[in-house]
Amino acid sequence: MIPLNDEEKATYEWQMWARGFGETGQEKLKNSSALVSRLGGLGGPVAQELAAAGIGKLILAHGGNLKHSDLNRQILMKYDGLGTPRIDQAVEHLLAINPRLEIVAIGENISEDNVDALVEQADIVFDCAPLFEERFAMNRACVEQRKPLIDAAMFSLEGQVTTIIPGETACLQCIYPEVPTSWQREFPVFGAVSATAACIAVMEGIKLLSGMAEPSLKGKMLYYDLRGMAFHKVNTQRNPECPICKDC
Amino acid sequence: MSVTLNLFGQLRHIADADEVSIDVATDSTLLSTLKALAGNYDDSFSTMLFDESGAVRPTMMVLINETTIDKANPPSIQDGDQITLLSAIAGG
Repeated sequence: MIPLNDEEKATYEWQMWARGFGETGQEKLKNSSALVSRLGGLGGPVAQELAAAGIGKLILAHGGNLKHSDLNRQILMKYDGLGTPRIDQAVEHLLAINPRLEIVAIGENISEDNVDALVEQADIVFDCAPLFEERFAMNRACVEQRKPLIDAAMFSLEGQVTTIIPGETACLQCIYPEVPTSWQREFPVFGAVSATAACIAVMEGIKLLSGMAEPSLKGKMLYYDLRGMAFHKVNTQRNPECPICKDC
Repeated sequence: MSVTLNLFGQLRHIADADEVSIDVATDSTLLSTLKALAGNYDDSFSTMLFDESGAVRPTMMVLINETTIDKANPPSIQDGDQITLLSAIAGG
């Protein structure tokens, strides 16, 4: 394990004061890697918080160029970047926060063609994709490679997060056995609602990677409603017949 | 008897309500209660909630009094129950 240098000790001093984290937790985080897909209203703040907290390596996947309608929530992007690849802006933004960060950047979205190789490079996966087909691809790859998956999603003023540990908890396809036909690619969204799910997902990931605490959403789904500021947790149920994880 | 339904995701969006209380017969099942609820809205609500066979969609999480239930073997509905419907979401 590569130890912290003096600059890192100075940078992360305040978070190393957190109970159960310390220099050991920070060192584990430095030596960890995470895949984040995609880098919009949800994946953007996930990547930003991981970068700021001092994760060692990020694998980022996001296709397409920046549009006006992205700017209400995609905080890694900037107005001057309209029409240019979002992945390039994300890398620039993240390295400006943490120049020590190693980044593997893919200017395309997750698919069945690239998911296995991307998940293989990561210790943990943050699922922030707007399509269930992408989410299911990451779920399958994580189950096969026994990698933890933090699944976060939002709609309007609501959000949800669950921590999936293959072989221990329900996988995404236990929760949603099929692609929901009702889900549409465009949805009502406030950046602050997405970022809430993102920050909760990141803390689950930091707990897992550093060992500072048991992830609170392992086998549970947190759902929240920021209209009424209500938060609930429910248990997720493994499906013994799940085609993805039944043998895991 | 009266039951309260808490709606999340697209169901809430269609119904334009977070929470709905309805009166149902004392021998109501989960399915008959949800059908009664859906009768208050346009077809898009039913399409979201039920599949082509009329069963609750497998992608819909259903909780009664904050406990996830097995939709294939739902418990009986009691006066005062809180039924929560979580539709699958993937926004970011």
